[in-house]
Amino acid sequence: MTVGPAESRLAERKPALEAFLTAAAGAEAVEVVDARPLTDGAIQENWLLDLQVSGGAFAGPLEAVLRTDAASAVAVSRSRAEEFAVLSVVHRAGVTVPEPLWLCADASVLGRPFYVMRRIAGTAAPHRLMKEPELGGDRDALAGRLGMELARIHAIVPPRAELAFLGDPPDDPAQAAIARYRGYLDALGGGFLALEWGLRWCELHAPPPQGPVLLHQDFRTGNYMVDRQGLTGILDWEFSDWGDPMSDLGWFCAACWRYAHPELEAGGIAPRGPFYHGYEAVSGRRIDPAAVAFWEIMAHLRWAVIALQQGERTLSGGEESLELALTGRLYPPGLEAEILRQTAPERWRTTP
Amino acid sequence: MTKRREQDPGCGGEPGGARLLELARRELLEDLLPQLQGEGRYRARLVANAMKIAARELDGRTAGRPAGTHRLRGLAAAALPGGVDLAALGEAELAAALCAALRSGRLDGQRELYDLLITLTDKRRETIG
Repeated sequence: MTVGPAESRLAERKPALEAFLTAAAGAEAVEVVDARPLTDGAIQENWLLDLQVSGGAFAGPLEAVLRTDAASAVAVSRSRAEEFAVLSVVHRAGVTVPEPLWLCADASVLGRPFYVMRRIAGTAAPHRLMKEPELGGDRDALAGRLGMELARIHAIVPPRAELAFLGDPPDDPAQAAIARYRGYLDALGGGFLALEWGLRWCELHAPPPQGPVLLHQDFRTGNYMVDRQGLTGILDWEFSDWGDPMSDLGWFCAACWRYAHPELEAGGIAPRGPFYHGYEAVSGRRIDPAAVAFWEIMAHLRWAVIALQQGERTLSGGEESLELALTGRLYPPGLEAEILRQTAPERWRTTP
Repeated sequence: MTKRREQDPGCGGEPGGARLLELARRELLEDLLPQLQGEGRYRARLVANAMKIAARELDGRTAGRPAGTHRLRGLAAAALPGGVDLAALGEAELAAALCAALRSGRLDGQRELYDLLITLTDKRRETIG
């Protein structure tokens, strides 16, 4: 069993984990042959599991991923049980995701709830997608495929009994988000003038709400896996919620998620055309470019607020993480510059 | 030599913080980084980045938030309702007052504020760039 230097939690709990997996898989026995930690996320912790299943429907070797809360988890995203429920719903709806296998809500097994999904091949690393043109297959086709996948996610609409924990969808997702971000900025101490400028512009210029539909809410390059043929799966469902479908499109296209290729406006991988076309073909919805442009400004605002919150975790939160500190320090100024660029005085309908 | 003295007021043979960070960063990037791989390289770059920003702040070549306070004060005088004693407001209170004015719509699309925000944001970007 390969175990990271700081992480022996899984090794200590191997018998309990194997007993859970045996029961969950309806097997005679499940052996954890190997367990390797993936790079720690700020919020989640992922382990690669090599399992050997004896008996039952899953008999044979099984490559899986175990996902649980990180030691420093904060209550900003969905619980593992909720994430598992969302993953199960979208998997059944035909969205390309890792197949969800088993949820363990019993904290006594690993110390925290976790779930197991089937491992998928490929990489999600943006720097590799930017540098290796053969990765992900034909890029226009990949963007079109991502548009189709997003449309399938957005075909899921409330109410859904399995997703009751999402609560009621907001009547006006844009105004609700603006109010939420203002609250976050107040909690951070206030005085963020450029962000307040952008929020006020958004308050005045929001397009009419669409939806509500199921949103991924972190649908961007870096959160889907590809191999040399194309898409292998969409990851990171921890921010899913009901809302305006155009917000996911704006998040995907926002300049802050284009990495080394700002000229490729669909996630740094392709022009918008193929992405929009794939989305429209499956959803039957017409994309209003102005609505997407609005949600791109909202994307920069949202990312700036999240970055500041991550930085704050190393201040009042007392966390000793250089990565989080740099997130709070490095990203907001560039995001503000982009927000200001898109909200110049001549773009205010009510310029005095 | 003279130039470096101005940037980093180390005291007669005792290098100051900015100079130490500069040298530490060079050693990290030129000598240590090539020996690292994968995650180690990524983390070393984070460290180097943090040292660069800290050195620039110490150097005082670029100013952060305080810059432009007097211009903010001028804008506040025009935007805030009469009777507010601006002179009594600290920098944070001034920014908070302007944020409230923005939210209430009293500064919608105001060119002077916009230009100042661009300047302030650019200054912060210089420090981290």
